[in-house]
Amino acid sequence: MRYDAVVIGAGPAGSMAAVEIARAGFSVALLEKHSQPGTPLCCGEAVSKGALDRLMSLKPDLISCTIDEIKVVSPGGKAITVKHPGAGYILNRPQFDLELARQAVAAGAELLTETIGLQLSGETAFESLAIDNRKDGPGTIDARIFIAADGVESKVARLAGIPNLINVRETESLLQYRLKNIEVDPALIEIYLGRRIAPSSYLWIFPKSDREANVGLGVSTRLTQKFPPEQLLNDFIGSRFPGAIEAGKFCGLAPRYQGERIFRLKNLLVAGDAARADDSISGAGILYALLSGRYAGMAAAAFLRGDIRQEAELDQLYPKKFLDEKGEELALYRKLRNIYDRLTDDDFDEIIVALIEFFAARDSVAGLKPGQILAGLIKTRPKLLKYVRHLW
Amino acid sequence: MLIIAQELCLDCGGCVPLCPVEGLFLSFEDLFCDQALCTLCGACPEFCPVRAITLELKDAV
Repeated sequence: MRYDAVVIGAGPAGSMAAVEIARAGFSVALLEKHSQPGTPLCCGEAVSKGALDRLMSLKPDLISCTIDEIKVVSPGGKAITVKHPGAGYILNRPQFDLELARQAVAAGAELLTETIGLQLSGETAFESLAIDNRKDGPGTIDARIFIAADGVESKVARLAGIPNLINVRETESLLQYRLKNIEVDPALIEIYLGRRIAPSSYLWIFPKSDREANVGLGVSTRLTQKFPPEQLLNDFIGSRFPGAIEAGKFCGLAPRYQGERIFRLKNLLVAGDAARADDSISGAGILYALLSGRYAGMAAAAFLRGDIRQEAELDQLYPKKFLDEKGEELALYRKLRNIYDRLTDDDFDEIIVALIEFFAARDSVAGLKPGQILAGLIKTRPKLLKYVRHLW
Repeated sequence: MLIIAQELCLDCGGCVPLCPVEGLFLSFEDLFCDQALCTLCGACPEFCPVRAITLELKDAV
């Protein structure tokens, strides 16, 4: 088989990339390991509404809930609820991924499901990908450019020789249940902090309706033997949602990756979680995947058109455009992550109290920049400077 | 040796990039370990949130 481009992984990054390449008039194979995109779910499904709306318009059936309020509960039980109308969406992620893949197919991409990459080969550039299809068996796809968008596992990047080992100390072990037969506010996200609840991470309640939610937590991987995620989550659910029915179980890895992000090797572009393009604080990656996939696809199309002569010139389109938009944000989250890891439960309590005071005079958080909130916190709690100084 | 309980594994792939010797492979839906490469470092069972990976230390003293 021969295509102009091959995209490995039909998640948000891969489908966005395939859309851009196909719309530019080039043939593109979109490989998906599973029988259909969007499964299995490895995601809390929460995303910023404003940022997503700027990228695309969503059909209503792809949205489970629209979030207007965020409640954060400190280890000592102090809670702040911040109103932020339209702050976010809880997506119907399997349908969302499926819809993106459908858009890629509608644009002309060929979706090859139950297909995995086995080996990348070529002389000076990558020229072919050995594949295995569950039904048809082994084969080879030749192409002029390749995009690895195969998630945190990132097998293709590894096959290409990109070192993508993550130190276990830089990861969180995530576990989430889909709970039914519960009562939740469908417009409210709840976050619980504290080392006894979710050591070095947080616990979340993301509503799927007023009777259903994704409830999950992260635990720093180095602490899972002492604090098993399943036990912590079961304890929380048992006390908060005693009559809950478990309707699904999901897990995953949140990399708090501190190493260099590698977005390209020769004519292989790496996008989304495969490039470690995620928020080091929350582990959120959907928006970064969409954006990095789009720019990777645009760069690939420019390469195929002949706008770019040398592979190295790809960098001016991808990752440069992506990093121009999101690089500072990703770097800030990494620094904040390091601060977050130093905070004690007492610190969390103090920060929540300071936030309660800060927001007392405000009806909504909308329009406030993180720097303004930070300045407000330091003004009332100068002690916090000892952490904030690590930002610079 | 490393034991993988396929019936517990949820196919998330999170353990794969943690393996320092690239000994873990996720095929279509199953996770495999190349026992010849595995050094029993313990990173993957430490990560696995659903306890699908365990170390069996038969020869441990």
